[in-house]
Amino acid sequence: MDQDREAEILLVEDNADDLELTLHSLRINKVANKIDIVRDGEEALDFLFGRGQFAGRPPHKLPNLVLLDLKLPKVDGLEVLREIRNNSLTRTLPVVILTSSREEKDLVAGYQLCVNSYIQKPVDFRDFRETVKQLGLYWLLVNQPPPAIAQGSE
Amino acid sequence: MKWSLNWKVTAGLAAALAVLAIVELVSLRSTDRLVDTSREIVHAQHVLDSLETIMATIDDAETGQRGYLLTGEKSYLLPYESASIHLPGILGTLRNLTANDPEQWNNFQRLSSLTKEKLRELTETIRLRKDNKRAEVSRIVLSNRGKQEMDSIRAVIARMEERERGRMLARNQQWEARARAKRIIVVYGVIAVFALLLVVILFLNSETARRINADRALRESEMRTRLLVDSIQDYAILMLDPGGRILSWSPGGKKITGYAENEIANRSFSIFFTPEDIEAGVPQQELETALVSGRSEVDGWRVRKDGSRFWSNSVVVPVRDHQGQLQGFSKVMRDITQRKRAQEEIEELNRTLKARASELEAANKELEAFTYSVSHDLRAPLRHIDGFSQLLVDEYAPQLPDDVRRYIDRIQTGARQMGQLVDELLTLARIGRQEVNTQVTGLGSLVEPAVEALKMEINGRNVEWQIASLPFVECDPGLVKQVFANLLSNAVKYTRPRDPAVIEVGSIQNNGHPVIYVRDNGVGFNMKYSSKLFGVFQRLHRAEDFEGTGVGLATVQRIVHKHGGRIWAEAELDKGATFYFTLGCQEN
Repeated sequence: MDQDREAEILLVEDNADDLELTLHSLRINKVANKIDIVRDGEEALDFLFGRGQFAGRPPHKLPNLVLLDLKLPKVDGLEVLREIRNNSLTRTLPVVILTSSREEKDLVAGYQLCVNSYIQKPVDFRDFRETVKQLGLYWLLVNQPPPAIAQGSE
Repeated sequence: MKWSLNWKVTAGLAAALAVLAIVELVSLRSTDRLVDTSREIVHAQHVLDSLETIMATIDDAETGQRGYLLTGEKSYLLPYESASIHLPGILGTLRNLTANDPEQWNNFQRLSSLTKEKLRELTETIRLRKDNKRAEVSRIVLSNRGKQEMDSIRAVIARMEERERGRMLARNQQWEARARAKRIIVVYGVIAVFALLLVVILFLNSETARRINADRALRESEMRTRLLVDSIQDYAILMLDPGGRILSWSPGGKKITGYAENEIANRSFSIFFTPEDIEAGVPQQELETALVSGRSEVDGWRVRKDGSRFWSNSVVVPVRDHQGQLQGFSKVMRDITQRKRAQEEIEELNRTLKARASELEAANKELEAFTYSVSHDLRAPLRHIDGFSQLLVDEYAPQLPDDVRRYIDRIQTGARQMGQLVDELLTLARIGRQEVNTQVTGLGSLVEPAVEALKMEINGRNVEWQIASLPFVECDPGLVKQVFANLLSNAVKYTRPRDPAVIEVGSIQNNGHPVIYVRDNGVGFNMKYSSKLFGVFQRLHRAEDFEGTGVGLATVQRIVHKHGGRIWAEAELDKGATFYFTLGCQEN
């Protein structure tokens, strides 16, 4: 993994319990060395576009993967996804929705906004841990990231 | 047609009359001539009679003269004396009779003078004999003067007689010719008149017959129309004059409005309208629209005789004769109050339904929001309970006493069960909201993956699958797959004590519609609890024996109902159970 990379994963999660369980699952499986965490939709957008508290962050330094919860304070997950897809800089950024909801309307809305993957968090923690492991391995090791991101990481 | 008929009859009769007049005229003239001719014949006869009398009188007088001249006997003088007395009278008559004929007149003049001459000769000789101048008498007699005079008289009379007879003959011949002509004219004339009258009569007969037939046909047609109109009770059928006055009325009209024909005749049809409508000119507008558009159809409140109102539908059409002249209007009126009421009720119901529908929609929205928050907010804490319990076990296992580990295990089991329950409830709710997207589907293709998905659960058990060939039906494949998944999962679960477990899937025909069944030889259930089978959270077995949430069959039933189908079960405790279902085409 390239150590210069701003972040391998941007985790957008408001719930502290979920955050801890997700981080635990990511770490125990040694999926990522560098994980950035934001706690709501506004922070997520500020982070990606180098605004607000992340004003100094070079916008082109993008993570390899965004794990996005849907139910977020201020700006919800789908709105964040829309902003990402509407901006030429972030349009091709791989985004995986990781949520409790498996409501059809959320699935439809997510895929209409070109989400790369949609994963419902299983109640069974062992299943959850396995899922997080697999998605991390897949998106960070197996999958080839889009060239714009690769360029940004140089 | 009428004119032509009249003209023909008149012409025929006129011709017959003309012929009759001609015959009559000819007959009349002929009679006149006949009278003339008769008169002339009588006249000639008179002339002849007079001539004969004159001749005889003179003859007698001369015979008497001779006797007296010879004997001197005075008795011989009687004829002479008679002649002297009568001859002037007879001659006078003859003069009148011959006055018109110049030739006879001349003859008469000659006869008259000869007669007078003769009488003078007779008078002279008789006087001489009386005076006894015998020599004088002898001289005169011997002079043959008397005989000459007599011959002359005879000759004149003969001439006159011949002329009269000739005239009589000519008259007779003329009369006969005329009589013949008259006969011919009369006979042919009468024949012609008869022929003409015959033609007229025949024509009249045929015409009368034709008219009688036409009249009968017309009467029958009118009667049929009348009967038809009278038999129509639900419609008032009216004829209006161009001004809107009622000319004819039908029993249906009485039934609808209460007016009898004699009460309504010649009244304006505006009598049916409400005062407001009359004020607004609605009746007149109805006629005007009919005139302009050829038809006017109006719905509205109308008034009965008793003042009550009815909702009417009426159609007015102008009626024109062959020349296109407006004769009036036909109006057909119906009482559709019932329909109107029904319609209003339906509209009211519709309004209520719409209100209910929006209420339902609101309730649905609420439910949606609820299920959304359930799926999100209820699952998250369960995940946390399970997750942190697991972390506890993973990271502190060596330090934990066995009891604690068992408790943690119970906590996790509970959390996972509740997670499953939430998931299944959400599925049930989702199916409730989801629309059914049907397509023709081979049910066999839905059973296969459901069986495949159960392979893990079977886990080395001896299960005998008997899957018959299943029909193609119209259904939502995703939902029906869920039906098979739940039913087969139940079958696998409740046959757990069986070796071998036999699970059967097949179909039978009922009234031409397929009924699908899933049969097992499992533990079954008592039929007295069958009513609870499809209720949410209803379970017929203890959780220790057979795990489950009590949502699976409720979901199955909801899917079947969404397809318009029916589901039922037959079972016997410890013998197995059979679940039957249909998709659409409900038997009831």
